[in-house]
Amino acid sequence: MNPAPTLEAHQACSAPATRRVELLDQELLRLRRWPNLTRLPPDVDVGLAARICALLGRKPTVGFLVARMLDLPHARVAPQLAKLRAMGCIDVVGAAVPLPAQEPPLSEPPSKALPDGRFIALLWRLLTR
Amino acid sequence: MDWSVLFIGPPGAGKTGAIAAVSDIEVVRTEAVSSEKLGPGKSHTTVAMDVGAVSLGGGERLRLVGAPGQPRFDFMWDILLPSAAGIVVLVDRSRPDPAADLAYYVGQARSREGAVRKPMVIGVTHTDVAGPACALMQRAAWSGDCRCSECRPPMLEVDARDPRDVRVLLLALTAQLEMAHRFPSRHTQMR
Repeated sequence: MNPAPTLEAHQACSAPATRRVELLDQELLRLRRWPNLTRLPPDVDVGLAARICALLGRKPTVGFLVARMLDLPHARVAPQLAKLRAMGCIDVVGAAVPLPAQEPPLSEPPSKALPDGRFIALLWRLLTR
Repeated sequence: MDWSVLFIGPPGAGKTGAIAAVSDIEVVRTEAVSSEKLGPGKSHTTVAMDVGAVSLGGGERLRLVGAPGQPRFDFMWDILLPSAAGIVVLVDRSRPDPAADLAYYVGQARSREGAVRKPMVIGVTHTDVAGPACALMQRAAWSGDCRCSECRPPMLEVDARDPRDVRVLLLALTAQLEMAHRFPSRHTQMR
């Protein structure tokens, strides 16, 4: 898939924030590149940006589902999505196709080569406090 | 299982310093005088491993393990990789060919049995000196056209002595761990 056209990126950047959010809500989003997380502008939430990029770098996701998958309010996630998009980190892959509200059952159990969810949650809490 | 994060990269990239920056304990070092010329003011290098730790609460602990950088000690990588939850590759941009360093260490980490599909993050150190652009270095680290984070791991500029920067490295790794745990299905090609 080709990168998003420059004009589209310009339009996304110059549109009012609420309009940009609405635009992304209905789009299938995919990570284009990780931002330089250590040198982000102050209005970007580093932890949230990392989680959004990790999600979209693992599975392309429709805009309005990103917040649900991160277990966070849409109002908190949408502006950060728009900022990452304006920074060129997120590609719009295409129009969203209808998806079920719930994730389908996992096709594989979590890998035993990775820590469990409790360990990850504790580590996350330590790093973000 | 006692989980660790493994720091790999060329000698002088800042692995020991990064571990010391965030470790709760005095870092256990195995350093010896280097027979190779290292960076200015650096005469010693890690020969077995460096070990630090952070307490997570709830009785859990994360070990921070630094592997020796010289390829002749690469047998240590095979020993250390299986218990690693993730891999931090540090590269020194002031070295003669940091892109080649990056390609080597990422390639080594990816090709070893104990590291397959483990989250990875790349930290570029010594960014205050002239060196290749990050875009050039990214291409050295990326594998193929797939855009997933396994094939195109995050690359961050870091000061390895700064705890804030090292925490952000670990944050990027932890975010990938979370998604790997929540969405464990094998990734398909993301082109």
